[in-house]
Amino acid sequence: MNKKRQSKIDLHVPENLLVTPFFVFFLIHAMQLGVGILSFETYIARDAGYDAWISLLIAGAAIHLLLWIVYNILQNSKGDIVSIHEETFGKYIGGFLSIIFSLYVLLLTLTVLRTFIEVIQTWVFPQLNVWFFTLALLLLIYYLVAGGFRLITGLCLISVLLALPLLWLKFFPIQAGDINNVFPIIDHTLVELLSSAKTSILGFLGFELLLVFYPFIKNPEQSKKWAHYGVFFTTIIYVISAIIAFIYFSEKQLDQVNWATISLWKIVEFPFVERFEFIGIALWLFVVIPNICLALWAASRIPKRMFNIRQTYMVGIYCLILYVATIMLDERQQIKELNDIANMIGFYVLMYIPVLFLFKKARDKVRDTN
Amino acid sequence: MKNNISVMVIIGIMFLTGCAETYSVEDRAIIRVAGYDFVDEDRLKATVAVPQYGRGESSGTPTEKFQSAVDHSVKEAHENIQRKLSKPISIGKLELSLFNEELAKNGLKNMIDFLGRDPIIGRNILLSVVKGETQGLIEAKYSESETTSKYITGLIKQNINQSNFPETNLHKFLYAYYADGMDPFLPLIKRTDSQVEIDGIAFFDGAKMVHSLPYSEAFNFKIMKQDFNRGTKGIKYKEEHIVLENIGSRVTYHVIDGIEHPKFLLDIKIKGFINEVQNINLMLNGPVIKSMEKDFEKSLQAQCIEMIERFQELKIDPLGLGNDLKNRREHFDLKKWEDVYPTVPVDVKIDVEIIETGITS
Repeated sequence: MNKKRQSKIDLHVPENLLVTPFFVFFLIHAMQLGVGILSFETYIARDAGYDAWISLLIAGAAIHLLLWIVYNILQNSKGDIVSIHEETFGKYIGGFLSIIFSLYVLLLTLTVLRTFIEVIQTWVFPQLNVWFFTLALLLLIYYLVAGGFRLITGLCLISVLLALPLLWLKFFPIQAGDINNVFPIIDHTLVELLSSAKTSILGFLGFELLLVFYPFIKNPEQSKKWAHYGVFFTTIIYVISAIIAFIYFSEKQLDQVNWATISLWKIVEFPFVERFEFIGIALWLFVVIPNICLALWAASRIPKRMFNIRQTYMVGIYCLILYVATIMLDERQQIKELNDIANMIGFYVLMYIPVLFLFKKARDKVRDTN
Repeated sequence: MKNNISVMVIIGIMFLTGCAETYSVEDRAIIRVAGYDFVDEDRLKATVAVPQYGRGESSGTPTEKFQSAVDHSVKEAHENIQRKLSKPISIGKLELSLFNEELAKNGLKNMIDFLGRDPIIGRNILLSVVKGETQGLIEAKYSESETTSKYITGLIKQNINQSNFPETNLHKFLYAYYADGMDPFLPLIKRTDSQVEIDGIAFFDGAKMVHSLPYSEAFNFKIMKQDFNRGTKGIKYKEEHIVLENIGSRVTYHVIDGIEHPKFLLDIKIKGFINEVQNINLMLNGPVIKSMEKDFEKSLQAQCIEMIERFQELKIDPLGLGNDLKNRREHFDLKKWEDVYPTVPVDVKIDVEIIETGITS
């Protein structure tokens, strides 16, 4: 945070705050993999049944395309979303859009935070003191975000490494499952597949934060392939999780299950631990915290760039908003609505990326001819 | 500034441990077996066994205390049991849930909901239907060295792993209950004086028990349901009785023809030992073994087909033929399938291979 203040358009981040391109893989992947993976199987299977894993592939391909567009937008500007908005739409409209984007990222943060606390409430501690737990968690998050972007990058790396061994546990449901469930392949219409792909695309939200942290990447050109690897890795993990849930549950049964991935942990049996899901949920905190931190950092970075205020103040204000909102939302139905709203807005944000691209291209053309 | 924050975080984390209640094992009534009996249309009686752990270092099995209570729903009945106990109930270690036959025949809908909804319940627990009262079965004393729950769980588990009983647990039950074109089954046990035995298999139509088979037919059902490599089956061969010990049976379901007029073929291959022949004079040589194999095939095939026909009459599908059809042909329609199921031709092909005849000839 101890950076010199710079003007908005001419953005230069000191070299000691940059991360190497390789870490973009972890940043993208950690941001995409949040609480969505704990429950997405049920929702994607509602439209396309057990063909939904194909929809995941479609969604993954769409994300690769959008990522390509994001890089194209960023490469020609040498800035971040704030400067792009200002260049393209002018000071006021552009500023307004940037604020919207910041609030959207904050909404993502809230969704992740609240949903994870709900998981703890329903699965582990029904009597959990939400206000106190959230307070403690947000203090930790504030501390981490105040540590700056490089620290968050490190967290993302740790989270990916910690969550990977959990994939081994998929072995238990594979043993109990029946691979025939996913057959026949493509028993649904294209419309059903696409509508399921629309649902699945929400699991990939988060890569658009690249629009904010792009200036923090050293040699951003080289980070391109790592970002694509990150998205690809996310897709693979989603597809594996989905197929395993499909072979373990029967179709109507999956429809009854709220958190399919956690339910899969339920059958893991070791001599020394009877209920593995408790450990799984506890470990998942390490996945969720970098996710929240990165989003909160990005959300607070935008106002900092616009108004030149200290980012820690913004983090504090946003933490306060998160805290109040988390406590206010206390029913499952509300949390579900929160998720639906966040997903809907997320979808529009994804739609907005190509639009921004076109506007920017048009703007650049006009400027060049002038 | 930074130091202050880290101190705050550490203090926060320290207090965080106080957020949740702590439970110690000694202060909970840990229930491992629960039984549910039919009282009337909308009430059930729950019976639980609460182990009493002694204060001292006394090893051996804990004594058990039994409590039961009647109410409309499972949770309420548990609440009523709680009224009679000095410690709160914990059902996290539940490993066996019993229902009496009458309750099962009236439908287990609310049991299924309770077991499926509560996150504290494991997916590997056993369910079983009991002939007669579950209360009497739970309260009886069977063994000096085992608690009742351990005894019955062991009984069912070893029959699944080592013998003729097909695989079952809560997950398998829920899977079949919710799946299209598949119906669940459970073990059927009964109490005889000082012991419990597996009496057969209880078959369900949705949540209602509609049919049962004696244990003697469990082998036939198991070879059609799954691959396994244990179990024994005896048949009449000429005048004698011979026993086949299964060392590896594999079943493959074939769907023949399209979705409109499906036909099924169950292709079962059994490898086995002959380990008991009730006539010492019979020489087990090549031709005799060949004809034994033929006899096994014929009699098993007839029994299997008969069993499937009974299922079809009752419109239950514990083998999951509908589910199989859904996985292999496009445009599966549950309504249509349910209409045609009773008349669908199902053929069973059995291939028995006797590979050894023991250490005496």
